[in-house]
Amino acid sequence: MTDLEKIRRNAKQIMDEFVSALDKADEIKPEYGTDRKGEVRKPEKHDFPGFKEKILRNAPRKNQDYVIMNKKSW
Amino acid sequence: MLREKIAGIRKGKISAVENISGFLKAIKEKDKDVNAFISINEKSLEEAESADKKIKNGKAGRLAGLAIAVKSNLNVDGMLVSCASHTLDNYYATYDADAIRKIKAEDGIIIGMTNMDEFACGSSGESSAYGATANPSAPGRIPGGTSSGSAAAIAAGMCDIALGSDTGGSIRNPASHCGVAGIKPSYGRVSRFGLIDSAMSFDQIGALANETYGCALLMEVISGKSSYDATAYDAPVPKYTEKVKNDRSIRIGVSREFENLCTDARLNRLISGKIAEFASRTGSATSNVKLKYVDLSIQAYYPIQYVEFFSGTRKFDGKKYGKKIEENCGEEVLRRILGGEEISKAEYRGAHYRKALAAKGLIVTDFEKAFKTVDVIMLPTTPVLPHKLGEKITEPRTMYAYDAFTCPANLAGICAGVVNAGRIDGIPVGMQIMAPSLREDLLLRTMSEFEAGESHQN
Repeated sequence: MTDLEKIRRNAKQIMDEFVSALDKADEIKPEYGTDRKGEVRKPEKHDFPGFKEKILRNAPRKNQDYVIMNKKSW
Repeated sequence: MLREKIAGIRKGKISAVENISGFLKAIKEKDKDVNAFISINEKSLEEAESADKKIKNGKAGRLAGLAIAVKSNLNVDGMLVSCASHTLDNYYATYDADAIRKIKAEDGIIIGMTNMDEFACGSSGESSAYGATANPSAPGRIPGGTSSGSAAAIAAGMCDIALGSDTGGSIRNPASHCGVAGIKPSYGRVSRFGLIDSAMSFDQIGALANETYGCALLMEVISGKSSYDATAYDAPVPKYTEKVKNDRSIRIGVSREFENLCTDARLNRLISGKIAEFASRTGSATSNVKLKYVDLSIQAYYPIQYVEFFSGTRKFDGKKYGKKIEENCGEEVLRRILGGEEISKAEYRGAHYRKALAAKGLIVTDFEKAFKTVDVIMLPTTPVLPHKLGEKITEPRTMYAYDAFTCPANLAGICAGVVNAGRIDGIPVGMQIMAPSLREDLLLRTMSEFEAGESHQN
């Protein structure tokens, strides 16, 4: 078994154990959510000077103004 | 003391340049042994000079001249934001996180980016790609994590205040182990814009300092709404640093459930003793609170964290920036990605995640009921003392257990802080205090009152 598979199985085992423990809790309701009525993001104008240059500086592969995402992969 | 230093900077008794130079010197002398910093801001002295000009003109902000260390998962424009991982070891931030923007607007000076557990996955400060951080307050012991570098930088006197992040205890755990103060705000109190997420429904940016006043000051600055973040509350930000002159007594809750989970009885004895002393000194009443489902916190927390972490790391594909995460990360990060991927597959129909969310709901209700009868809950920060550096803990469940007392606050979305409560075998022990959501004022006041009693005794 590869290391990757070992780690995946270990992770799944931990998750199954944890969820089995949750089975012990009575009253588990299937749905839970948060009421955030009234908490709505209001759009605002933003300015990011030099953003393009900074993005291109981080890109592993680029061609002038373009970030190269997939080269010859299709 | 920070309050006195700020007054001194305002009056010109110490300049911003002197303050920053002092810390840069301390970093040069001490950090080779502590390893709290991954990178230093080369412009910090230049920024200090600008701050000094503003101070002279009487136009400086609330943080003018102060050195602030920032955890390496927060975007600071132009700085290396590596999350302590080879995945991002060549990623330089293209913008400021909302919290950073607010700090800079108040003329705070970012002195450097601190070490941490890789991608905020851990509890010890040992899993960074840049090496483990030492604990300046307990030599030979782990500093805790994941905000290991921020806590260690404070403890070693390498900055005034520090920013950390807390998903399951990552500010409070290292604050306790390093003997400093730390606060995890309520979910939504501080904008997460610019924080590289660990689990988006738990993460909060918070403060660490030598004393509660430093945490309160930073909280005043970074709290509040953000147009970049729909989950940040548009709620007024109180003056957390203001000393409130009113009745000092509060209703303190203690939980048998947490006591039963404490593996080291000495921790229970120390914390119980301190709670009793505090209650007696302030005329406060203590009572037991029933937190019926809090012993399931770890089991509820980790499935949610795994799935949200898997989702949040899909952007690290090495195409726009950095490198492909699965090929450049440590084992614990990989475990959480693969585990999150596994349990979010269609064949499980969300069984793990949905059940964990339902359990989270029960824990929220536990705390809502508890806070109807008490103002704050006091408890230890971790169930055990920090282990020795180099004592390899290979079993993930053992590491996860460190979060048993801290992750409930993240699950419930409430605020929680830590102040130093003494030592056991020379190792600092933090008292954790929990307060209801958006009651950082009550939390910080209680932390400050507790601290005042401790310093009076010492």
